[in-house]
Amino acid sequence: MTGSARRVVLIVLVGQQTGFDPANPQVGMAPPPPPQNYGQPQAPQGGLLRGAAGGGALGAAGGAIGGDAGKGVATGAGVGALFAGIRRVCYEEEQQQEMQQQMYTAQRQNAMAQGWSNYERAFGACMSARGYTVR
Amino acid sequence: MKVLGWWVAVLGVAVAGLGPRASAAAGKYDGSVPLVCAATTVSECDADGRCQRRNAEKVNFPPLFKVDVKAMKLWELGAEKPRETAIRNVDRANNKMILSGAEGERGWTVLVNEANGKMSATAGGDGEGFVIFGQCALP
Repeated sequence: MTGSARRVVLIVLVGQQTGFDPANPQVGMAPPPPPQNYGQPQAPQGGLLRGAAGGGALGAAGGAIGGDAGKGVATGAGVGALFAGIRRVCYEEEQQQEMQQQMYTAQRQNAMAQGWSNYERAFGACMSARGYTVR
Repeated sequence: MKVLGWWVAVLGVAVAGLGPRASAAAGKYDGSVPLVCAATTVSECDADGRCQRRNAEKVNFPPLFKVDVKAMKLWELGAEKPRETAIRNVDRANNKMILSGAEGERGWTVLVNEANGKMSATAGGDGEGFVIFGQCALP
């Protein structure tokens, strides 16, 4: 077996031993928690972009800009929720979520660095055992 | 698709809002016909002075709404059951139309530049405030 072939075999063996593949470095970590809904109430039915997605807002805007208010506006409007219905996005929870994401990224980087370190150490040991000098 | 539809609507309002620039020289908006307005940016502020940029959807404010000074009301566009609010006061100063009202535990103002349709709105509550900017399509 040539030196390079032996080296490849070693890489595979060390990869299996350490569980770290240098060609596809990955670490086994749970993904970060999904974004929270901030405990906010759901948007009222038929409101906002849900209507816009159905073309309602476009039609309404088009009709209203065109001067035909009757076409643009649905009847039966509910009084008193336009400004009172504005809801706050929880700043603290948003910050917490950002921190969790940063922690996850840092942990992942640490795990990756640890994986490389373990791999290199094992690879060096294998090569040394076979008479090679690893720097 | 949802976002695209909204942006098309906003763009439509913005483009329509550009039209009156030429006619604005001849005469500013007099409030006789309803306006369609689009909220483009929202800032949410707390009593500590922290403000966060949001979009209308996130804070549950209608991206499109109509201003009818004659009928003294504002209402949401594009909803099956549109929300509306009553205008309590209308002021005018230096080509700006300033509407105001109160709803629940909040007070609000909507300012429309009668020359170019630019819209600035605020909604204030106990220890909180929202500043909304957008564009209205002048007739």
